[in-house]
Amino acid sequence: MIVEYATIIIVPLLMAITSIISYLVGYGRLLKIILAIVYGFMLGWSILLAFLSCLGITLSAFGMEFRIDALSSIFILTSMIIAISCLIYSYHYMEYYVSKHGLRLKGLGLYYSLLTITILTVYLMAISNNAFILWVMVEATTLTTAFLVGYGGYEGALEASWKYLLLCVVGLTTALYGTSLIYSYIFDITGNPYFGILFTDIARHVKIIEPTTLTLASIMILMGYGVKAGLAPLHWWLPDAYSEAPSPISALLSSIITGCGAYAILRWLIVLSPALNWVMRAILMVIGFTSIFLGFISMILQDDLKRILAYSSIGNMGIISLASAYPPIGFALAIMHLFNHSILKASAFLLVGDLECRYGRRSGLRGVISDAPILGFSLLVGILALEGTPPFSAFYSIFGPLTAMKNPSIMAIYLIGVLIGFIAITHRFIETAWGSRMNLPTNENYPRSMLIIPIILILITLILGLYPNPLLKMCGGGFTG
Amino acid sequence: MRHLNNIPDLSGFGGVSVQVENVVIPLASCMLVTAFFIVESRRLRTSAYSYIAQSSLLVGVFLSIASLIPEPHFYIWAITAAITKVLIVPWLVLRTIAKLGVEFEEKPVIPTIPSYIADFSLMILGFWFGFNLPLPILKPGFRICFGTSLTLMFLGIYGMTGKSCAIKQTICLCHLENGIHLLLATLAYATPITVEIGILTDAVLAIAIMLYLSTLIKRVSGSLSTYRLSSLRW
Repeated sequence: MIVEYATIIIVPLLMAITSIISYLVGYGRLLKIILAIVYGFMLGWSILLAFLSCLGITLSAFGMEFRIDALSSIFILTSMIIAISCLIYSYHYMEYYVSKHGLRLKGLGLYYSLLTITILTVYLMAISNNAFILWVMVEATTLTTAFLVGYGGYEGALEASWKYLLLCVVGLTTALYGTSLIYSYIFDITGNPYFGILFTDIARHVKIIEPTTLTLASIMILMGYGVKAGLAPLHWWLPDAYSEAPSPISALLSSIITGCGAYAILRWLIVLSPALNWVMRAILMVIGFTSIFLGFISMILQDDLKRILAYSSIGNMGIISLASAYPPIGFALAIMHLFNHSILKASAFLLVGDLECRYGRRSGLRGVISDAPILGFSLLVGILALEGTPPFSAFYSIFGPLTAMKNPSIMAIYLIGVLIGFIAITHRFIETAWGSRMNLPTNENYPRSMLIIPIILILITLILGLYPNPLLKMCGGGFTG
Repeated sequence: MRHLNNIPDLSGFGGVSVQVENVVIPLASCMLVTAFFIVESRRLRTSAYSYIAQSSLLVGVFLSIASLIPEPHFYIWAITAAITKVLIVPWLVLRTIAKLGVEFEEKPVIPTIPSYIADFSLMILGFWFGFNLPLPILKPGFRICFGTSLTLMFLGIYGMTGKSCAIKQTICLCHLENGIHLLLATLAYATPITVEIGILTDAVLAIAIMLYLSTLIKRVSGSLSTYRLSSLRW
């Protein structure tokens, strides 16, 4: 009882207060300490929730309006790992960023305030069992991060922010239409206005929904949240937003913000799966393959490392979509890939941020290993891990869907897509790490401690790759919870 | 269809009551007329005033439904919509227009005549979908609202992509939000008030953020045209 109400009232309240304090106190040592304590507490709390979900305990409160099952807890854990990583990384990076763009150092209080609100909205989204509140929170994440994307205030950042806001707000509208259709149908049949709102109730009544209505609503939900998840062909905002945002925000966007879209899709698919027909499965496969090929092939055309990572995210979201077409094991693999991709992509963006701090650029870099061995090596290992190289945990989630696919042609097409992605990204990053050394002026004041966070993130996936049982258990519980 | 049976004689949506149709059809038609002015008027203030008119009509739809069906919280919807959509949002938009000192929108991407054709085509498409989607839940009276809602959504999306002016795109988003609220009124009218408040808050915040970004865009690039912002290429 205490854990439930603390999770649903005290923790969000703590984050809301921290956000206000961040804005009022302004940037300084005191704020850094307060934020580190609060985010540390949040991480600890998310580990507790994950532990409880491993024990099969589901928390709920306020008449099931809020519910923390395995899927929620794994997403909260992912979010909090990323949040604290981005926070600590931001301490140094954002000082570099504000000096580069001529912004006020004291104004960083707003940055941390918005960062905390974003984490709060993601948290509320993950614990919500109400389909409409889930939508409201996904939209809220867009609003808060739009500011963060345009934080630099220069033309490119504003354009990226505008595009992101416009496309996500419009796209999410479609998801609201789909949600309303399902709500309306269940209400119409049962006469109870609550049966179409809560996911647990929708799951109980899903079979009474007429198939055409269900398919149409599912397509609308997939399209709406697909924009947020960056699934092709609804991905136009993604490369710009990722590349123009400050690196910690790119890490946040690529992991938990697009993750919100993927989470919402998975939440709906899990609820609707007993009644979904082959049409939805086919759509998931088509969107999955389109994202994989479009995302991975587009990487070849890019020079900016952040844009390469952005297109890689589109491809990886495609893998999640494709895996979801093979329930029930596919759902577990999709949840697992959401976790692995979030951690590794955040790490990759933070490492690119390191490159940016050291060399003042993120394209045309070569021979980083000879100049900064730890940075270059971490970059290379991080990218290999991201592409599913064993023994990192992404190996299971990238190659796992093959076990669910029965058709050899589909397996072959999927493997070709993954191979294109592997070649496209490793080719560019090997050149960055190992190519002939360039003679660029380096920023010697760049703090080496900035490397610690991305290395820890890579190590997490290494440990989970070597001892995958806890992750497999949690992800397995994700679709049954 | 229990809840529809609970609303004898004047059940707005399922029972196809003449009373509801009599009220909703004229209001919905007027909303479409205002939609045309919102999207097509080159003068930003005219767009904003048309939006006020459209929001007032939406409030009228809410009040009419509230008076015809036993859903008292529709009055709360009407009041919140009146405060946010008729007062706060237009005030924000008009204040930004005055602050930036802009009278007319930037040159749109699509010329006037093709744009009118696009508007009418989208209206036809919206109603075609509204009336032809194979959804057994949609009854004729309900379909009019659904069709109008879809049309407002289509026109909103068209305005946001076919117009280059940042403020015009923001007004078109407001217009799109009206479409969403009409949809909620017709499809999900029994949802708790917290849901409605959440959706409305999101809408107002989105508009406030877009107006703030518009101001920054004007300051940085010297123009409100989002199409002139082309530093990013895929």
